[in-house]
Formats: sequence, C-alpha cells, structure tokens
Amino acid sequence: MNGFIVGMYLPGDSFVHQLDPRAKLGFAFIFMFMVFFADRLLACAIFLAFVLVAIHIAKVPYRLFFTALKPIIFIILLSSLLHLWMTKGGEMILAFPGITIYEEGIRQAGIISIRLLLLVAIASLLTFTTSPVDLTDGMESLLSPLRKIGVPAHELALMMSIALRFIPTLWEETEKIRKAQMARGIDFEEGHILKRLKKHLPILIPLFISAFRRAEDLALAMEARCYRGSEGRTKWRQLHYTRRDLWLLLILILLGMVLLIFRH
Amino acid sequence: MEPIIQFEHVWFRYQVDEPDPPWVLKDIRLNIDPGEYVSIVGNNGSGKSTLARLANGLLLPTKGRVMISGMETSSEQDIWQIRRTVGMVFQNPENQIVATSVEDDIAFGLENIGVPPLQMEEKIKNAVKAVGLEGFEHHEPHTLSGGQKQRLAIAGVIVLEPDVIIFDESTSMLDPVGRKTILEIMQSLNRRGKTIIHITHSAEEAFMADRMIVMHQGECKLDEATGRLYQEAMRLKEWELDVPLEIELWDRLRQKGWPLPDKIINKEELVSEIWRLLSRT
Ligand SMILES: Nc1ncnc2c1ncn2[C@@H]1O[C@H](COP(=O)(O)OP(=O)(O)OP(=O)(O)O)[C@@H](O)[C@H]1O
Ligand SMILES: [Mg+2]
Repeated sequence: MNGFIVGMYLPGDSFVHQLDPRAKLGFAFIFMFMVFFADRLLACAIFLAFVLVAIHIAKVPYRLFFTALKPIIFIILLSSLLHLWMTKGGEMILAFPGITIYEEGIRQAGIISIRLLLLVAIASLLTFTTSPVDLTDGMESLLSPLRKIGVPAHELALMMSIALRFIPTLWEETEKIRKAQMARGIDFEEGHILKRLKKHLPILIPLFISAFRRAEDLALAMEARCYRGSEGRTKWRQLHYTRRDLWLLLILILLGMVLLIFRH
Repeated sequence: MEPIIQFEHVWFRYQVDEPDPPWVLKDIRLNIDPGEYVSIVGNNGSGKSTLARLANGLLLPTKGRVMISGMETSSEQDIWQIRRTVGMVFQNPENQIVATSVEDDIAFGLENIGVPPLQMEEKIKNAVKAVGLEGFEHHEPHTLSGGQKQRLAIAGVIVLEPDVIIFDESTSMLDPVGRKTILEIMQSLNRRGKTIIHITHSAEEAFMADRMIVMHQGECKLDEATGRLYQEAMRLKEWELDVPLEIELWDRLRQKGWPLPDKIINKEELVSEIWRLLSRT
C-alpha cells in the first residue's frame, strides 16, 4: 500500500493498543474539542508534548505521522501565512514593503499550526492503535444510547466498517485504472491544476461505476447471509473497560486544568 | 424422501419500466433431493442466476411457487429459516466480504441470526478449518489472494450450517489453483451430506457433478445424471455449450471410424479404451 495510510491499523500490544476503543474514541473526541480552546502558545505546547509522549508509548514510528500530515501541510502553511500577514499586535518584528510581521502574528501562526497538527496526530494515533473492528464496535457502543432519539447506531457503524473494508480495494482499483489510462497516453503530471483535475475524470468515472456494482453485489451477499438490520442481532466481540482506561480520564482532567490555568 | 428444493411451475420476470417485460424463467419444474450434487449450465442470460436467487428467497416467483424443505419462499416468517437452509456463494469473491478481518467476516452471519456470542468461537474455528484458512484468522481481507477470499466467502456461508450451498460461477474469477481448491471444497462438502448446486460455464466442472441441468432462454432443457449424459453430450452443442474435451475427442475418433464403444461413463474409461486400441495395433 504505497503511501495510503488513512484508517490504517498497526497491530501491536502497547499500553495505547490495549485501551478500550470506547475510552479511546471518547478521549479523542473530547481532546479535539479541547484543542479548539487551546488559544495560548504554552497550552498548545503542553498538548503537543502530551501527544508526542503518547506516540512514543504507542510505539508508532514518527515518520508515519508525517505521511499522515502530508495532505494537510498545504492548509497549515496557508493559514500560517495568512496569520503572519493579517494579524497585528505586539512588537513589529519585520517590515517589508507591503507586509509587516508582528509578534502576535507569529504567535497566532504557531498556535494554528500546532492545533491542526494536534488534530491530525490524535486522529491518526487512534486509527494506528485501534483495529477497524474495535473502532466500529466502539462507535456503535458509544452511539447506542442515542438510538432512542433515532440515531441509527448499528447502521452507522456498519457503514464505517464497510468503508474501512473497501478503502484498500478501491485504492488498488484506482491505481489499476490510472495505469491503464497512462498506458493510453494520458499524462497526469502535465498542465495546470484545472487541466490536471480534468484528466482525472477518466479515473473517477470507471471507479464510481465499479463501486456501485460492488455495493449492489455486497448488499445481495449480505442479504443471503441473513442480514436484516440490528433487530435480533448479537455481537461476537464484547468490549470490556479495564483500570487502564481510567488513565485517559485522569489525563483529560489534567489537560482541562492546563486550559483553565493558561486562559486569556 | 421429501425434496429439499422444489420449483413448482415457476415463472419469473423482473419488474422493469417496460410495459411487457420478457419472462426470464418459464414454467420451471425442478426437484432436488438432500445430498445431491447438481450442476447448472447455460449461456449468458439464460436465467441461471435468477433461478439461484429464487431458491433462497432473494427473488420471489411471479407465478408458481418455490418450496425449501417444505417452506414456501414467499412466506415472511419462514424466509430467515430458508436463507439459513440455502446458502449462496457468488462470483466475485471481493464483493462478498463485509468485515475488516477474516474471523469477523465469518462471525457476520452468526451475528445476523442472533447466535449467543459464547457459542461463536467454536463455530468460527470449524468453518476456518473446513476451508483451510487456519493461520489467517486475523488477516485483513485485502491481503488475501483471490482463491483465499473465495474460501473466506465459503466459510462465511457454511458457518450458518446450511443444508444446500449454491455456487453461482464461484470459480470463474480464480486462477487454476484457486479453482481446484474451491472444487475440492465443494466435493468434500457434498461427501459430508450437503446439497451442492454449482452454476458454471465450464463443461469440465459441470461434469464433476452427479446431475446436470441445462438452461436455455429461461427454460430447463435437459435434466440428466451426468453418467448417462456422457454418450449424448454432443447434444450440448445444440444450446451453444461447451463439451468436455474427452467427449469431443471420443466423438471425433468415432466419426473417423475408430471402433470405440458407444457408451462411455467417464474420462478414465475413455483413456483405457484408447490405450487398448493403441496397444493392439
Ligand atoms: N436486476 C435485473 N433487472 C432486469 N433484468 C435482469 C436483472 N438481472 C438479470 N436480468 C435479465 O434476466 C435474464 C437472465 O439473467 P441471469 O442473470 O439470470 O442469467 P445467467 O444465466 O445467470 O447469465 P450469466 O451466465 O451471464 O450469469 C437476462 O436477460 C438479464 O438481462
Ligand atoms: Mg449469472
């Protein structure tokens, strides 16, 4: 799988791997929420330090996180530049004709970069250390209380599981179609961005057609295997919280305190 | 003995927007007994897959009725029992796998029918063993070969302990090795008492069954024990079907005037007849 790591799972037996998926999901969700309130550089730095330690404990190679970051590097750069350019306040650091950079601009650029980095890192850490099965089971279990108000917990979890199941398949297929189109003389690297996007149409259309075919086949196969929604269904894997999961609660409280202490 | 599958004057057409859709199946009468090994052949669009889908209630007959172990497929309360009785393996192995690991995919069917979680472990283990996927339990489906994927699909079906398993061109997308394994699994399932229905385009594979059904333009044109079919296999050409190579050879040699017997019952007999003739000259 060349460079495609969204939703990838790295089997292992680290402390992070052994945490209950529900605890991890809940943690990641609240953590992401908290990241939006981390508006001080120091708080951001502490959050970042925590994530680095967590990655270390999970024994996930750092380079994988760089690969995960690649698609959003552009966004990080753009938003940092905007902050450098637009934000005024504090001392003047640099002055060029047409652009003046203030201290506050640098600070804001740093904060926004770290925030985006944190979001990607925590989401990747979650998928790297949680098998797709656990991830979807955890999601189903967390959402199931909402069934009463009409949230289709089981269906959502199944959808996610099928999506994770078919990502590698569709990715492989994309590559195959791409090569086939290249063999017919399409050069995907040439031309400006709009032109290049247009060249990808001959990949997308066959891919969509085949995906719909697959969906139809799969629905039939599921029905033949007695699938009939969540009604009367049992689950093979049963989730169990352990004492380990309390650590996540503790960490959340600590991080919450960090936010409070360094508030504006 | 009561047939496990009964088609009683079944007519079927798909509901499409056209005013008068054509009949896809016409007056099918068919009985299949428990433990039989049946192959169904016929050219594209002759209605084989449609027939298979009628046999486990994925489709319901337009006219007539389909009975499975005495249950009618149109009965809403029996449909789940019917789907547990008649399992189905499809053509594309990729598109039958739902879950993100081998064992979880096998568990999918058990979860659907509400088996208590503690009883699943044992059943999953047995299914894995029956298709020879030991050691792959934790693998992700996309890391398996085509043949292994198809074996996984079979495991997902047999874990529900169906009496009948229909294979709808399940070997057609595999390489020769994968194909051979699947055929062996079919035979071993049949020896253990399962009713096997194998839909195929390969004459050779079709002749491995004990009974062969020929479909042509929605009609059942021929329904015969394969042992008896050997001598009239050239008739298969009437419906634009392939004839196994050895039968073609036997027929041509006879036309050339070789004194071969006009009844052969299998490939081995033909080979020994030819040897006898050759060693005499
Ligand atoms: N979902 C559908 N809607 C409308 N018509 C259909 C549908 N599925 C099949 N048909 C038509 O019904 C006829 C029989 O199709 P069926 O798939 O049963 O044939 P088959 O014998 O399995 O062919 P093949 O060897 O190609 O698999 C064909 O003419 C086909 O076009
Ligand atoms: Mg078919």
